[in-house]
Amino acid sequence: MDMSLIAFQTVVVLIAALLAPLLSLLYFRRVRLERPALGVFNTRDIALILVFILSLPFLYLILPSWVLTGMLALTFSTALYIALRPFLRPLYLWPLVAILLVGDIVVTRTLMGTTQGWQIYWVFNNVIVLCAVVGISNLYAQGGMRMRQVVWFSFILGAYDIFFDLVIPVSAHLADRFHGQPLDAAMGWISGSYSANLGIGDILIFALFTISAYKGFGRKGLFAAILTVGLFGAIMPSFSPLVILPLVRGGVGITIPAQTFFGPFAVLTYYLLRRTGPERSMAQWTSAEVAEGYEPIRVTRRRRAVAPVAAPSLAEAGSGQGD
Amino acid sequence: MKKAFLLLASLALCLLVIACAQDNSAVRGPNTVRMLGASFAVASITIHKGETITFVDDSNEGSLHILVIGKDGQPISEKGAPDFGGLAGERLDVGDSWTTPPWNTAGTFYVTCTAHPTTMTLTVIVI
Repeated sequence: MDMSLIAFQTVVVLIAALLAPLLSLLYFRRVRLERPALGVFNTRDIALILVFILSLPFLYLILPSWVLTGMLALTFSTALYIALRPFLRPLYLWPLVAILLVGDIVVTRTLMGTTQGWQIYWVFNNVIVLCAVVGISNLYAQGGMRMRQVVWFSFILGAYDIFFDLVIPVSAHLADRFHGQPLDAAMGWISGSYSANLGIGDILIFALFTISAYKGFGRKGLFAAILTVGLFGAIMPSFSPLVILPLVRGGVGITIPAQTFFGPFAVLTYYLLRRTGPERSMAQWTSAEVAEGYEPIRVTRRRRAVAPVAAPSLAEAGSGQGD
Repeated sequence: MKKAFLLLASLALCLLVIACAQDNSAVRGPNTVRMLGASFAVASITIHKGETITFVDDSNEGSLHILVIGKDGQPISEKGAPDFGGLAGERLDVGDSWTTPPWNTAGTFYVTCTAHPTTMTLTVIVI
C-alpha cells in the first residue's frame, strides 16, 4: 500500500468524520427544529429506518442514472430545507437549494474531465451532504432519538457493512455506482491521483452519536464521542487496508466498512458513559438549558405581514420572527 | 392500503423494466477496449493510422468512467490525439460504448479515466 495515499485518506476521512458532528452539535445547541407531530422516536421507528436503509442500496444498484439522480435531488432538497429553514426565508432558501443541486449536476456533466472539475464537484457535494447531515441528525436527535438507539443502530449497520463488503461485495459496487455521479451521497476530496471519500450513512451516524452523547451525558459524553469517532470511525478504518487485505480489491480500489470498526466501540462507549449516570432525554436536556438561561433560535411558520396603519395592534406580529 | 400496495408494486415493476431495458449491446470490433469497475481489460492497444477505438463499459462489471487523453487521471494535451470531449471528458456509464474519432497521427498516446486515476491508464500505439 502507498503510505502517502493512506495519509491522504486519513486526513480526508478525519475531516469529514469530525466536521459534520461538530457542526451538527453547534446547530443542536443553537436551533430548535419544528418537529413533525409523530411523537418520540421509539425502537419501532429505528427498525423501520433500518429496513429502509438496508434495502436502499439494492434499489440504487438497479435504477438507471437519471432516476437515481432524481431520487437523490428530491431527498437532498428536503434535507436542505429542514437544515436551512431556521436561517432563510423560502424566498431565498429554494433558489439556494436549486443553485446547489443544479450546480452539482452541471459540474458533473461539464467539468469532470479535469482535476479542478472534480474538486469543484466535491465542494458542491460536501456542502450539500454536510447541510443534509446537520439537518437530519438534528431532526432525529431533537425528535427524541437516544444514544442507546444510535449505538445499537451503528452496531447492526456494522454487521451489515462487513457482510456486504467481504461476503457479497455490494458495497464496492455501490461505491462504483455513485462515484462521479451527480449528488454523490458522500463527502470527499481529490488531489492529483489521490481520491478519498466517506459515505453519508457513516457521517450521519457519527453526527447522531455525538449529539446524542452530548444530550445524554453532557460534556463528558461529547468528549468521549469525539474521541470514539476520531479513533474508531476515521483513523482505524483508514489504516485497516494495511492489515486487512480483502478490503483492497486487488489494488483496484478500496471500500472500507467503517461502521464495522466503529459500531462495537460506540456500544462500549455508551455503556461506559452509562456507568457515570443515567442518559438524559431531550426534555430533560431542554429543561437544563432553559434553567441556565439558554435561548435557541426557534423555527416557526412565518406569518403574513399586516399593514401597521390598518391594524396597529397586530403590527408587531409582522416582524416575521414569530414566537 | 391495498391501493397503495398495488401502486408501489406497479412502481417497482416499472423501475425494474426501465433498469432491464438499458442498452447492453455493444459493437465489438478488432479495436475494442473493454472497461471493468476500475480498470481497462488490456494495458495497451496497437492500431493503424486512421482507425478508431471503441470503448465498451462492461454491463455487468463496469462502472462510470470519464475518459480523457492523459496519464494517471490527469488530462494532458497531446498533439495529434483525437478529441475526448474537452473539459467534460468522454463520459461512459455502465453498459455504454463509445467510438473515438480516427487516430490520424502516428505515435504513442495515453488514455486515462479521471474517476479511477491510479488504476486506469491505457497506452495507445498508432502505427
